[in-house]
Amino acid sequence: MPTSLEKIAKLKEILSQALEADLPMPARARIQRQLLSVYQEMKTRGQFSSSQNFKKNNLTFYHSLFKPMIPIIIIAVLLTGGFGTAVAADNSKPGDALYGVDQALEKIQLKLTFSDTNKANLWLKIAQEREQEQIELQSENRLTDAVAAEGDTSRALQNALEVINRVQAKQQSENREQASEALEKVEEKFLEIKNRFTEREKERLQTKLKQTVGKVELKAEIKNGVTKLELKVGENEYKYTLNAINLDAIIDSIQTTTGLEKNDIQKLLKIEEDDEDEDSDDDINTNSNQNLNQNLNKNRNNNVNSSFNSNRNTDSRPEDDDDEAEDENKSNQNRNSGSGNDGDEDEDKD
Amino acid sequence: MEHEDQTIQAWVQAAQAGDEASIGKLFEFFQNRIFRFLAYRVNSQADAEDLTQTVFLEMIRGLPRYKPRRNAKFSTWLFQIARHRLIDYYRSNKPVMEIGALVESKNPGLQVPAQEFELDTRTKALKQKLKLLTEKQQTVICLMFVENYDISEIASLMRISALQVRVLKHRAVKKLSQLLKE
Repeated sequence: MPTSLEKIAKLKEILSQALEADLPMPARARIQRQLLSVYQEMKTRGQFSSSQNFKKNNLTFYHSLFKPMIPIIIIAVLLTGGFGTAVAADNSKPGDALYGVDQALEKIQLKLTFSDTNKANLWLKIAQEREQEQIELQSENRLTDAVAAEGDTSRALQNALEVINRVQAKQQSENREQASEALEKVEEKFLEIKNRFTEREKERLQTKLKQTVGKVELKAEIKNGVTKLELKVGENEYKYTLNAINLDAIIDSIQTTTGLEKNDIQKLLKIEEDDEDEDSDDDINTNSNQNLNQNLNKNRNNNVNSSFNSNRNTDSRPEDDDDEAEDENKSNQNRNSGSGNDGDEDEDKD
Repeated sequence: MEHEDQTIQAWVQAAQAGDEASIGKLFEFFQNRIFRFLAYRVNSQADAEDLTQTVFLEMIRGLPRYKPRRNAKFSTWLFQIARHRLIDYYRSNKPVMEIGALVESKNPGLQVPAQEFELDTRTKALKQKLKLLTEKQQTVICLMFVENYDISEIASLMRISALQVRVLKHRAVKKLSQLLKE
């Protein structure tokens, strides 16, 4: 019986053979000729020139001065119902007398669970229970209690994720390339609950958007490859951390998180520069900021030429956070009907 | 590997500064990798060649604005372009047919030695089965097993979390193993 690691190794071997293919010579020559002609044409238009590009493209120089990444501040306006539930939950009183007892029992159960995978499972079970309770509370019109339940769902998910990451890190440190089946199941279950949670967040956001138009503000700071967002909706203030560090990716992330249309986000988005990086090169910093601003304006005006961007702007399909199980079902037909991820490869060009 | 990245980065910088030879080097270096990434997922070899051409043209057009980032390789950017062109291709509603003979034989006349026959049969089967995976699963499998990308690189390329990449991977592996048993 081969181990899962052996299976992976075998699969890898067959795969690399299966996909072995070289670009045929005639095509190679043809493409190369065309590339050169396009390149020369761009060069004559001054798009590639050493004097223009040397400074900003000098990697060593660039990186020696820019560790960490260039900090920028983005200010935007949008609405969400997101993590506010977590804050609200802290102040809410559970409606049922036994709710506290229920929580206490769960705590005991968690303390008595020693295996990390089981612990993650337990957190997910708690998240699921809170989720169910939240739905019931909503239907009974006990809205405060429902918010509290959703806050607990969010916390349980967060705890589950921490445990999952811990197990994953442990497996990696032990050089176990293939995650255990138990962990895989937990990860799938996590994504399933998380996706449902995100969907509900989006719905709440849409409701709030209608209620508090004009009273919303978003501040974003890009630093060390991470974007920190501060969101104000009326009197509430929420904080997000995104992995995205450039404009398109940030807009995508905001869209994924909030369900807002890209056009709305682009209309509301403003950019400011962060001067925190004192010893950074001002020219480049400004350049980058200008680029972002230009890009933003370009997006705002919908004056986007490339087919890629046009596609992206017209596509309001939820992105990669889609339920993966759904992916499974869609399979090939799905690809053919064009429901692939519509991300943005030009993010690094900004 | 690090040395390789530095070399590529040097070519990119030179190309951005107007050096034609560097464009040629970049193309030579990546042509087969990009072609392979696309080839088994499209209808015909001609489509694969056309897409490869589109990807490299877009690379050139994007070069003036391309900036190296920490923790992000040039190849990641290039594969990102390739992936999105592939998705555009799917969008154009071209049904992806089985193309058994596609890029299968670099030497069509060459006879397969007996001991390699078993592997060759599995190879063919695998190529067909790969098409039954979702686009995301195919991308993960190809980048991980053929391009040797690690999970965090794939996550940044596909703009999803590492956890989602892991789930995609184990689902794809599981599905492929099942399909191959059938």
